[in-house]
Amino acid sequence: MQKNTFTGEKISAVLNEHWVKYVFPSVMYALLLLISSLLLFLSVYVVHPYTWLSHLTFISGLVLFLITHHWFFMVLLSECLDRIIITNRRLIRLQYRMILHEDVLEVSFQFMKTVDAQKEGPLQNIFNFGSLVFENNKARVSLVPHPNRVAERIERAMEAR
Amino acid sequence: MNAFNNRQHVMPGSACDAAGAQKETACVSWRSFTASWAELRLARHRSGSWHINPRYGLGVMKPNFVSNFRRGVQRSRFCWHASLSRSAIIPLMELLDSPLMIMTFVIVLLIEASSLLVLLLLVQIFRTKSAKYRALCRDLGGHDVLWGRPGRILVPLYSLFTVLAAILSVAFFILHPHLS
Repeated sequence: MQKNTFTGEKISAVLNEHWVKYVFPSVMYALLLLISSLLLFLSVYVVHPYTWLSHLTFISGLVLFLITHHWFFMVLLSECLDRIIITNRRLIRLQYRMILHEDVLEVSFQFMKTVDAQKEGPLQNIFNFGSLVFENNKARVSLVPHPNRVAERIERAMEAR
Repeated sequence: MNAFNNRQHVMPGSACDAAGAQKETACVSWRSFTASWAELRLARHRSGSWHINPRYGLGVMKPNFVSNFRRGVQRSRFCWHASLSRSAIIPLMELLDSPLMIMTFVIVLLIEASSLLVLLLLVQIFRTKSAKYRALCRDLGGHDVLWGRPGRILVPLYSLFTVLAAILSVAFFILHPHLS
């Protein structure tokens, strides 16, 4: 456990969000890659006798491929920065989406006294992830891996205060 | 205008008419000249790929397919190509033959340049955010062992894929016989 000597705040855990968040972007990436490959294939093997159409299709395929590529890696880079930090005083959930979105959620244990670990649906139960709900939905942190274990750790931190 | 009708540009009794097929090439308009290139490209599409003609160098040569006039154009073209001795620069030089090809090539280059700029921008933003997170973690009393190093694999992978995509797409556009 790391301790900040100035404030007396100690880090209890630093967690990544559950890997399931990468599934949707990956599926979309594969799908859009397939479409851009089809456009490139069309430009080269189907419409090539019509030069204008061939070039237009090639450029469309190329642009779609590059937009998909940059979007996918932007999502990956953003997602890999997301963290859930638990200290003896608070919980901090960090979310950045590059230049599009920034969200830093802080839940102080001074004001929040209860935490609830929720797993809804078969997917969350099979892959063992869920949400942490503080004080009857006053604050919610989703995509937490092993939420029961994390809730237990938070309760210990709350009791230690 | 069809490239095979280029003879109608030559007035009977003119210098071109007297000088024969070799000089005709100098008298054709730019439009018929580009049209002849279009026909050549079509011939290359029909042949399916590049091949080397022992007499004229790299390219598509089908002597029975073209008229005497077109053979004249092709001969001058492929003699010039032969001087480049079948190097890889030939497809690139052919790209510059028609305004349409030049325009498309420039667009492809611009797209790739903007893609590389987006890469640099995103990596820079990621580094800034990452440094901010690390500072926050340090303030909380943690250090890089807790934080890890996010992006240590992703950033080089992203850069590599983007640069590769840029190189391959430009090379594909230049070298593929059905596009250029």
